[in-house]
Amino acid sequence: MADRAETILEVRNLHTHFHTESGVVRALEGVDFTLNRGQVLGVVGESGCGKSVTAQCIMNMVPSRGRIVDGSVIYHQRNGQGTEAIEITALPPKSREMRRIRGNEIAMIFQEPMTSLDPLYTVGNQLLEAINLHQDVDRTEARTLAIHSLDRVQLPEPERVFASYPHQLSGGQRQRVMIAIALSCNPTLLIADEPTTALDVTTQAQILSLMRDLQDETHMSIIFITHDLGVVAEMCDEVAVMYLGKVVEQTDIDTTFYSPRHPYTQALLRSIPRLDDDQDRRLEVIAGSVPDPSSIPSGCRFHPRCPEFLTGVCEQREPVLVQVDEGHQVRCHLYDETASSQPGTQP
Amino acid sequence: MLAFIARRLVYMISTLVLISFVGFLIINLPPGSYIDVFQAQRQLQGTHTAEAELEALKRRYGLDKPVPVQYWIWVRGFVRGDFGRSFEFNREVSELIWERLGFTVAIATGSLLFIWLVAIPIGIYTATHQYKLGDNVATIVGMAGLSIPDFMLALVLMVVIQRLFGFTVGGLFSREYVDAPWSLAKVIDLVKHLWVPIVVVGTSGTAGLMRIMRGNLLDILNMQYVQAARARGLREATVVVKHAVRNAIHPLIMLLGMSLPTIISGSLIVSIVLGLPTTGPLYFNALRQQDMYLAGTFLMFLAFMLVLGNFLADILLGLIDPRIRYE
Repeated sequence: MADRAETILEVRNLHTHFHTESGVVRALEGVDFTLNRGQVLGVVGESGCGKSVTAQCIMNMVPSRGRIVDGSVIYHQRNGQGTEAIEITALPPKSREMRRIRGNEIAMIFQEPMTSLDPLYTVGNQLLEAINLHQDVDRTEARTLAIHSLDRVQLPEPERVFASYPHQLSGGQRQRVMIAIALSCNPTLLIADEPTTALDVTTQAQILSLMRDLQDETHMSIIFITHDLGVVAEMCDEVAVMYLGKVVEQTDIDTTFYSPRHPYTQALLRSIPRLDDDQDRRLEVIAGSVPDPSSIPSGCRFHPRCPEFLTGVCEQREPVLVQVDEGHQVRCHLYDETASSQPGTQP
Repeated sequence: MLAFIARRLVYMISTLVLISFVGFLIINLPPGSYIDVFQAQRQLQGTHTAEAELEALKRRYGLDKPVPVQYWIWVRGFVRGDFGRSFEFNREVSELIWERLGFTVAIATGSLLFIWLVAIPIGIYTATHQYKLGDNVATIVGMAGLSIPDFMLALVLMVVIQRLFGFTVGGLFSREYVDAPWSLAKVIDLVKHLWVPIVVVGTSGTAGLMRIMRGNLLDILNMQYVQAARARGLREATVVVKHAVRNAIHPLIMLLGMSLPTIISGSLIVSIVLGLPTTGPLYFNALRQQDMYLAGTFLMFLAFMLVLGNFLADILLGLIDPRIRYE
């Protein structure tokens, strides 16, 4: 792609906290990544590491008890001549400007297709909602656009689907409808928050291939949130790995799979079952479990579970994001010369 | 849909038949009958009632027959709109109820409207502003409204109005208008009195309904389709009203159906305290005096309203929610 290096979204040092009865939950404590125009970025991590909250921050619709306390999300919007940088995190969530971006510039699809359509309205009603909001069209044009977008996600009999209520459709069909709604206004960025997690394996494969086709066709950028590394391998150009509210590594897809640097990324990859494995070998696991976000370990958050743990360093100092290669950032003391005298010894 | 209505009508009628039977049985369970009450009252007044007179009364009201026969005589009249005679008032039951029904329905629909018009908007506001100042204030006021017994509130209001404004609010009319023919002044006087029972009955109902609305809406606001609607860029008001509130209203419709009997039960305790000419005190006395046809008929009316309310609520839900199919 010609505009490969043009940035569309920057997330800088994002901190988001939730105020609950049992205290402050620090959901995000430093999320950094960049997304280039036309690329697919995979955001991976275990449950509860803040993937979905990151998506909510980009849409500027953090639940009412959450607050973005630091950092920024900057969206580079294309207009006639060049691009204009919009700081999303500086816009009031309910403002007209923010609502113009939502659904129009940045669209989102959700994890649970079974519950992401309002059961009381037809598919058509909810699809037209988006079209009428963002496009200047009359009734018949809007309807044509709606039917067309249902057709585009390969739903058979789009006219019938248009008039259907959500409960009359299957999970896979509903996710297609969600994609149709999201794409109806031709967004330049699509956030897909675990769009296939709730679907069965065959449907999952169909939805993924649909999304890939649509991406090829529209060249939109996608943030693909998932915990499934197989999906990442299939879909993404870039990968950002998250652990407990921080991005610990961001690099391109090949480097992620063939020469990851962060011990957490390495451990994640080792824990994928392989077809060519010796049958008797036990699956590798990451020791321990994700700590509760209200009792986060000191220093590097991964240190209690890390096989490369450096005593006296990792539990005391928080690692910073360092550039280890062109377009490859890692948050680990092993690669930070100022923090440790021992350089990384990983293959 | 028609088949559904027909089927439900059959269920309704069989339910009502069963209720009439059980109800009549229960009313007849306490030992003695109105004749004993009548005799005791006479004795208190110092008059002796002749055995023959009592026998005549018994025959006249069919009390000499076995209970199943009495039941049959009573039930048979329903189709003709004949619900038997009240022993105490020596008048037709239907007449007695009818003359009090107007005020009862006026007060009940008034308070029902009051409850819904006040509770729903506050419920929506508190859910969308959870834990903010307004929500906390509404919660405290609501809890107070829920915990203060309505007869207490009625008494307090009566005293306060009497002391501060110098007019009585018991009953529905001032003394000079009670027997006066209808006129504009009488209507104004009625309105002056009517708001007290409406507010009293409405307060506890409002508090309860407000909490239910708030709870439901909070659940719905967390649903993914609400987030998805927001992610489309819809205005917050559209998100809340079109997608959240409409989904949160279901349980309230069921509740509305169940509250239909209160329209004729005439909020008993408040009516007694405020001395209102509604059906509530009438029912209460009928039960005490073993005025069994009057009491039984009331019971039937209440049961009928409940069954009807549920039926209407089911139809309404079917119209609102496309997932409900009547096949």
